[in-house]
Amino acid sequence: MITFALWGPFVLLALASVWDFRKREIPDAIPMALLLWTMAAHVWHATPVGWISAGEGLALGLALGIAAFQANVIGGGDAKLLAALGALLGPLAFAVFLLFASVAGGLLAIVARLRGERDLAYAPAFALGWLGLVLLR
Amino acid sequence: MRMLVRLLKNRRGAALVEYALLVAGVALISAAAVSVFGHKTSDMIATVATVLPGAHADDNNPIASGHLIETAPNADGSIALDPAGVLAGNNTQRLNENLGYGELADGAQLVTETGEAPVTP
Repeated sequence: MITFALWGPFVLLALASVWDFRKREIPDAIPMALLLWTMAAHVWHATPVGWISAGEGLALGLALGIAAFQANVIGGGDAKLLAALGALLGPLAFAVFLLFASVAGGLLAIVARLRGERDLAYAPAFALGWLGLVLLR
Repeated sequence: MRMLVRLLKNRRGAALVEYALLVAGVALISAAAVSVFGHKTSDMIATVATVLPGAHADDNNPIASGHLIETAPNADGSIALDPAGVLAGNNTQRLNENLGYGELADGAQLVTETGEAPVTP
């Protein structure tokens, strides 16, 4: 499903994770870089995802992100990251990614609960979900 | 609009523990449902696609995963029901096997609920 260079986005997501762990914030540069990566992949025809699919994925990620952000479930940084990942993956692969990411998020949530925290950094869940998508598909 | 501006300004990267657990539970259950029922559903749809006129080996393959019903390619490359195969498998309990019950006793069909006697034809 995804054959183009997969490690660039992973490095970005790992960076976001470290930032998120330390400061509970995701710098805007990371979703921006993911969007640029997506555009570059399209320009060089290095992705099986078409422009239209990328648009659909972006809309899906943005809609999910806005909904969860409005409900105060995730932070704005997470929402923007979701939108960028949707554009990168297209709606189908994005749905599979969400499955992996939410399972990873559940495991991290158990750890956070055991440590007595009320909220958790969610970017690591995205990074682990990406890893799952790349390794298990 | 204000909402979008609020989103763009907010860089927080944190989710509430309860929701993360909830979402993970839903994801796990749907993954389990797909892994249990995915093949059966795709077989049933494939059966319908096969018996529709125009099913062709180029767009489709004979059903192989769950064997709800036997299909085979024709001489001209189109896919059709395989009467010989269906006849040969006539006394196997396809639905039972697909649902993981295995072969039931002679004449017995699916047990509808635990404790109830098997429905006999």
